[in-house]
Amino acid sequence: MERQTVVDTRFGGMEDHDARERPGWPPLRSRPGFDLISAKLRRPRVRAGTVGRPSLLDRLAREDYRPIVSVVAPSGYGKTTLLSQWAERNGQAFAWVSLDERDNDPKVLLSYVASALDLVQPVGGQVFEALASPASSVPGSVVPRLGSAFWSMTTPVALVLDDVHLLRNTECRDALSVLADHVPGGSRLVLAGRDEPPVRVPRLRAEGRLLEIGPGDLALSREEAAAVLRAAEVTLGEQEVAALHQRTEGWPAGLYLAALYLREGGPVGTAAVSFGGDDWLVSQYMESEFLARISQRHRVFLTRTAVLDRMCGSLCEAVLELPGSAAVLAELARSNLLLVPLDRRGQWYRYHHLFRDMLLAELERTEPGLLPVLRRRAAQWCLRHDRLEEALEYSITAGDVDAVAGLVERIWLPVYRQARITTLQRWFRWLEDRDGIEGHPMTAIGAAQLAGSTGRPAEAERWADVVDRWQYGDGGPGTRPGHPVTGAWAAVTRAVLCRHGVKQMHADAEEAVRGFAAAGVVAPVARLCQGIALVLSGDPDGGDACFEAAIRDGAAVGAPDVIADTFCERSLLAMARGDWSLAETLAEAARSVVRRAGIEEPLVCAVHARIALHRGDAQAARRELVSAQRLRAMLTYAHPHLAVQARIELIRVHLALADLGGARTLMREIDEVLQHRPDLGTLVGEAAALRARLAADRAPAASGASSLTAAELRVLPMLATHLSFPEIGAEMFLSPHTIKSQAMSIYRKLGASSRHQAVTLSRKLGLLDG
Amino acid sequence: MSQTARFQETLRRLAMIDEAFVADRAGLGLGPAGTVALDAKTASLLQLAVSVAIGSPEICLHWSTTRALAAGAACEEIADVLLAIAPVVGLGRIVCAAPEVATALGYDIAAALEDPDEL
Repeated sequence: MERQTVVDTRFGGMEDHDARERPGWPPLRSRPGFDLISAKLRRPRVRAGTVGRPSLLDRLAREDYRPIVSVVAPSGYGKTTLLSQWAERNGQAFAWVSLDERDNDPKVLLSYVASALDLVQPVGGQVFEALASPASSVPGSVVPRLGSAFWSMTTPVALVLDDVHLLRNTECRDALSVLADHVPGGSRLVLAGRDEPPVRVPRLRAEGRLLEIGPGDLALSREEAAAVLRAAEVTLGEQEVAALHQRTEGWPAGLYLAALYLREGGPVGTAAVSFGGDDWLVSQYMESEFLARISQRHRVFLTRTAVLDRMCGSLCEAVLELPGSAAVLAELARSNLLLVPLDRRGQWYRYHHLFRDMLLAELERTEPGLLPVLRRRAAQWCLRHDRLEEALEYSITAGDVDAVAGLVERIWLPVYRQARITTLQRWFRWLEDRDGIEGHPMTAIGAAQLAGSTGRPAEAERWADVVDRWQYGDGGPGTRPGHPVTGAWAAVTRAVLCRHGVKQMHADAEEAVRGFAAAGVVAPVARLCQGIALVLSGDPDGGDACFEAAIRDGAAVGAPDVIADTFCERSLLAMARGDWSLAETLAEAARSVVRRAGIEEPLVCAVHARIALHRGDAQAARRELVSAQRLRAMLTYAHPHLAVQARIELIRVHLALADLGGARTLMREIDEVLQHRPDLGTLVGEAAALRARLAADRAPAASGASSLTAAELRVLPMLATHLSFPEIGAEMFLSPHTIKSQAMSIYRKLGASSRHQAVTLSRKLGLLDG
Repeated sequence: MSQTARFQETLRRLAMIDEAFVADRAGLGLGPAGTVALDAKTASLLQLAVSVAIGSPEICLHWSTTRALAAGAACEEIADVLLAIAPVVGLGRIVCAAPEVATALGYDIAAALEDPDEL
């Protein structure tokens, strides 16, 4: 589905450091589909006042035969400082990614990793293509491509991922585990975080490939402690330094906080706290000692701005509603290491994580009611400055359901087209948990669309029910409160889901076409549905006319998936008429649309398979069949006509290639769809004819790769990960027993006797990348 | 990847019913039944029925079910096999076999029985 209005979806890039403006940035095709926050890729500068760690740096240099480096310590131990010192001193190229919560979407995380590597040496368009396509599988496609791109880099590079502990998403964690197996000679993978990195530590340790740096290594010695205090312009006697060092146990942040405390005039006796693993103690210290000593003005500033992920002067002023905040920010930044600069201009900052946690704890203690207010102000500032996604995230933390629903309504489609499915699902789930979707029909429509195209038909139906309730709820049948365009979108959703047969689909499509026309909005999907309904009712010429109209409309608007499918429908009609040269032209048009948009559509593969067969090119036909196999799992009864139509065409090709096993598997899937949606017009008859043909063939079929079921094809990419069967089950919401039996079935059909073999064979056949 | 000893390879391939291996090394002709009067589909359904009757382990049931599907049997026909043989083999055998046959048909009975939303 496409909208007329193009929504600006800045991912929060900072204007003067938009990554795209960097000289030498690769051309459009090989860039990630969304704007990156360039600050995340920026290697932090070594700042004055931090103490050098020569012995650790020497160790890093000496043990360079260990490709994986793990730096694990609680907050405030100087992990980032150490790594930035290493980067400065080391001649090697460094690719840096500072992770945050939003990187729990594998497409987002791996876009940053790919871009970071790309800045060192071009990684190639294939990786970014896989990242940009909503249909591509992360373990099956993106990770292997990124892995081999990394492996083939000739420039030695150290890839640093900072704050790795923030990654909780299983696919993200597994991606790093797989990347660890693809570190080329001379390069390093460096993972820094608060707990053990998501790689197979015991195995790497046993193979001697892991260099581990822990809190014991990072703790400061007494000389280093003295250096920290000196750099903070605090003069103390040797004994006092020793006492401080002992009390903080060498915890760098503790020493620095003590220094700040002493600078504000606090007595040495109470000037230290150690990291006993107890955050509560530390924040008690903060509130009772440290914050009590600084000026009221600064305290208000520090605690209230702690709600911000990133801050600049203007944002601080808006949130605090205090003019002059920009000056306070600049002043604090000059004198305090706990404020980290994010750009070169001195405009954007963030707090050191530990400091921010402390400040937030203090704010929660003293002014708890203020938190949502501050966050709401931040959201509004972001809205005013066109940073819609940041506004959305702040609204989420503020618990502002209506604001979140409104923003999701505006930006879900572009985010979907950027393939950030996990991010979208997070937003929808958040709204669902707070009943935020019921009152917002466009959001429900978006959720239905998302569920439908990610192969979750039951969920799509649930959201369609919500939309129906909105449309026909109070006031009798047909009342449409709200915007008329929403009514048109609701009608299109109903048409696509086709829950009540072809006649109803036609009525819904017509309603949508009328509604869009009345509102002056161009949406080719309505015409496409209208055309399909006509074809399924036995009027191919009427349908063709609608398809032509859809293509005309779509040329201006975008919506490549809709346009490609429309070309395919026209191509199939041409084939039925016997006009193969027209069919081929149309198929080529479909293919160039999806290629240009970097997406994949199963119907395109099916159509091309038939064309290739007609040309006599069995090999090309087989290739198209494999491509279609990769996409088939997403074609469920949520889009019943597409699911059945694509499979019918694929069956025809399988039969022509004498592949009974594949044909039979597809036929069973058609039967499953028809069970849910029995009224699909002429498609039912076509399917019946093919069924009869298959039944008449008495020969047994070999159970080869082409007879992999849709469920097995969904599990197959997961076999390429390092996840165990129970973990795969947890990820896919299936029982481990099911996963095990599906895996065995996959092995048997591929002729493999181990998981590794199955993955290798799948790659050879083209079912997986790598 | 560690090298597997020959005996490990043998046992593993047997445990997962690697058809090529079993046919080749165990000398068990696992190809389509050379029946003349019975078509391949009927033969495969009979094989499944006997598998159930003799209490074969779950892997064998999965395998027989998949073979029946490949021979053109419908899911309804496969489920009917259990009904058809019940009077002869008894309740125990078919109750034991039902979940495994279901798994091979892509239906997780245990999950379905647990699911609060399942009608």
